[in-house]
Amino acid sequence: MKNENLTVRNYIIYVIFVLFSFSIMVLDYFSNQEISSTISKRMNFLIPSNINFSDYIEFFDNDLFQTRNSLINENIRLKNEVLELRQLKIENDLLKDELDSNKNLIESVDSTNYFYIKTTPFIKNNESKFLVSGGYDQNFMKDDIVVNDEGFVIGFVDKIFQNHSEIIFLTDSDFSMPGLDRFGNEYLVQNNGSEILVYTTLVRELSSNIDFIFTDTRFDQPSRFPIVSLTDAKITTDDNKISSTLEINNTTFSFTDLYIVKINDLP
Amino acid sequence: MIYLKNLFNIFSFVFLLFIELLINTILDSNYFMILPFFIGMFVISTRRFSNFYISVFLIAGIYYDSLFSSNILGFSSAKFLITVVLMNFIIANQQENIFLDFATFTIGIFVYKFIYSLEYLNPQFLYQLLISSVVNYFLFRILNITIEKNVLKQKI
Repeated sequence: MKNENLTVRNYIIYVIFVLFSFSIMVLDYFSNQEISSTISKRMNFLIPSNINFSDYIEFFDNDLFQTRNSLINENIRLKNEVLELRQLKIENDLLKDELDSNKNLIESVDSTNYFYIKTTPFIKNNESKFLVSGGYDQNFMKDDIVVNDEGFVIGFVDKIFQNHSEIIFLTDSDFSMPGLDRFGNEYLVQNNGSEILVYTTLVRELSSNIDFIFTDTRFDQPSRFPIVSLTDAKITTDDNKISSTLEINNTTFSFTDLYIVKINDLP
Repeated sequence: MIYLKNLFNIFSFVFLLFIELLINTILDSNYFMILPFFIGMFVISTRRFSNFYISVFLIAGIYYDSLFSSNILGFSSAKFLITVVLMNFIIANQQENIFLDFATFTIGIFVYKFIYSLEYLNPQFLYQLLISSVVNYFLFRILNITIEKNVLKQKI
């Protein structure tokens, strides 16, 4: 009997603290997350900044565990490599054609207007969002675009903390970004959880000959960074609308090098 | 001494939460997750339930919300406390058996991983949670056996 009373009393106290947590939530929600922003701006507990995380991961690539078996495997691998080289020659010809089509794209990006801050995703939170190094300390802003080493936009900065930031990647179900094609048509690139939808919000010239969807200054973004390539995608043009769908590739971003694009304010 | 013990528990659970995030980032698996923080929470909830741990989960939740997510502050604290109470309520009102223990563990994981997004209802995510509950319950049992075994009482 005494034990039962104690358990009930414990439950009541737990429920009181659950209600206390809800009241913090209500306060934070109605203050436009001012309370959580204040804490995240001032605290950087457990996450040291300016660390090259990929250096730590390279530890696993060392020669510590090299054995005789690996040498035999290496021999087999080399044989396979010769076969692959033959295939690569064919691929090389195809890539030359692709290079020509990309030439126009590269020339249109004025790289001198921008500078790039290298960053690394080092934590994936419970909501499956990646946190990257660099935050208020590196002057990151909400909606700053994130590009990979090929120059393609792969996400944007969502929430900023003192020395780290949360990124929404193209593969996340809440990704949504406006873009432009070479004819000036405006698009929305959106992830619906199962595929990437690309559809027009404003049509100036109806055409199915679209190669890339770019970022543009009219959406407060750095100009002419490709978001998606539609060269191999099926494009539908009907009812004065252009749309297409793309598959979501299961790419892993953990500990890879990414770049935040910032506009160079200096003259 | 009580305050010191409380402070130690807070730091331990905060560190466990950080380790959990780090393990799952390195693992990056679409099939399961390793949840040491949740295992700790299950131990507290079903074996050592008391008011003493309220501050631990409250602070761990605030720590997570303010440093690792764009959640509204207090969301994770409420979620952690509800998970602990719910798991204890199921276990306390039934006789001890392994199936009930596992069922409670699975329900606990589903509440613990709740997010206010449609992605929560994604079949792949639910499948991942189910596999995770099997893997983590297995880890919990191994841990439980190891902790409960008193080496000093063993015959040589």
